[in-house]
Parts: sequence; C-alpha cells; structure tokens
Amino acid sequence: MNNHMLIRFPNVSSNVSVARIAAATFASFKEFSISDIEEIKVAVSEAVSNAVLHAYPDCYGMIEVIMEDHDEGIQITVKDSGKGIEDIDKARQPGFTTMPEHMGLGFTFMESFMDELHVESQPGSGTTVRMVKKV
Amino acid sequence: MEIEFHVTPLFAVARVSGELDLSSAAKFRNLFDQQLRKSGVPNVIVNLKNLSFIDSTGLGVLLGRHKAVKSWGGKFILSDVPPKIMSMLEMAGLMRVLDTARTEQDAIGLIESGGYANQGEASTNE
Repeated sequence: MNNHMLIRFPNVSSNVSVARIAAATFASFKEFSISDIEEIKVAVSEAVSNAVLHAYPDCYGMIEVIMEDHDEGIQITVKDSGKGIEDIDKARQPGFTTMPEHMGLGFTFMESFMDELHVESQPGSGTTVRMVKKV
Repeated sequence: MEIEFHVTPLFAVARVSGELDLSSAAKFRNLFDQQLRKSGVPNVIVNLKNLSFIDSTGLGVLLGRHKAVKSWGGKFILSDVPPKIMSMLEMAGLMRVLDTARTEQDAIGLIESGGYANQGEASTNE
C-alpha cells in the first residue's frame, strides 16, 4: 500500500499554513531537495489559498488536501465542494484575478513548481487541483 | 508574521519576520498602513532578512504597499532579500517594478541621497 494522508479543514485562512506544513512534512520522507520542498510549499499554499478565497464566497465550507506517494514522487490533491470555476483556461492565465491586491499568479506558480498540474471544476460542484512533484 | 518598525523623520524601516501568505496578509497590511498613517513618514524600507516564506498573496500585499507609497511620491525599497524570496520576486516579474537594496544601510543611503519625498506628504494620500 502506498502511504497517503488526508487533512480536512474549513475555509479559514490560517489553515493555509497548516496545509503547507503538512505537505512539506509528508514530502520530507521522500528524497526531495530542500528547494523542491520549498516549491511544494508554495504550490500547496497557492492551491489552498484559492480554495479559501474563492470556493465558498461568504460562507463556511470544507477543503480537503490529500497527499499520496506517487511512483516517482508525491501527488497532492486540493479539493473543495464550492462554487467551481466557470472558465478554467481563463483562471489559469498569468495575471488573471478577480480580487484587488492579488497577483493572479497562483496557477502559474503551481505549474512552475510542480511537474504536473491538473484542474477539474464544475460550476456549483467544486474544484479539484491535482499536482505531482517528481523526485 | 511579525513587523518591527523603526521610524525616523525621513523614512520608516519595517523589519518583517515569519511567513507572508493569506493568513498574515491582512495583519501585514493593517500594521503597515496604520504605522505609516500615524508617523506620516514618506519613505519606507522593508527589511525581509527574516522572512521565511512568501507566496503570491504575500507578493500582492508587498506590491500594494509599494503602490500606496509611490502614490504620494515616497520611496519603497526592499532590503536584505533572502535568495528564495528574491527568486519569487523574479518569477512574479516584480524585480522590474520594486526597488531593492542589498542591505538596510544601502537602502537608507539611497533615500538620504535620493531627494525623495519629505515628511508630511504621506498622510494625505492614505
């Protein structure tokens, strides 16, 4: 059996750092470099921040982060059951943001720092972001 | 995330430690804006020596403060930027926008010799 871990938490901003640290700790048992682990932390921070900021506007909702051993490294999935993304291609464009003082670089950083990034979303049914980092 | 302020008539130094992300962005923004309003100081040096993590939310907050300071003609300089924070600034394209200095002392030198805004000009635009 491959090792795996699931953490589930409400859309509270302080949970961004908890999720990031959990992912970094999980990754530290693989042969990643310190710089790889820093990149994983940024990618998880971006994915969880997106879920906290956008998935459940003005209401409470749950977010899941699933960390799994992957053949060549680790896979991290960030999942919500919120409002979903209407246009994924648009949301993934560098600089696209709907919020003031935000850079719109979340997906760009996830894409740059991880080896694979898959985004699935249905309006009204939530969003799943799956990322793979290879050792 | 913690910020320690040191204020002089010409500039404020904000020494930031810890992590700058969604969980600390509002605290950073509030402390920073409050301190500048209170002191009326026009120029700001943000010393990032002890900043251990930043993501795009943190970068957005830094850029927002840069724009605010620039709006009243002040100077906003990042100093002592750790390599991993520097690479995030570069990836975000912020090195084309933000001024940086190697050390806090270098940043002070830039402000003292640069003829930047004088005290009192800051408070009107915040």
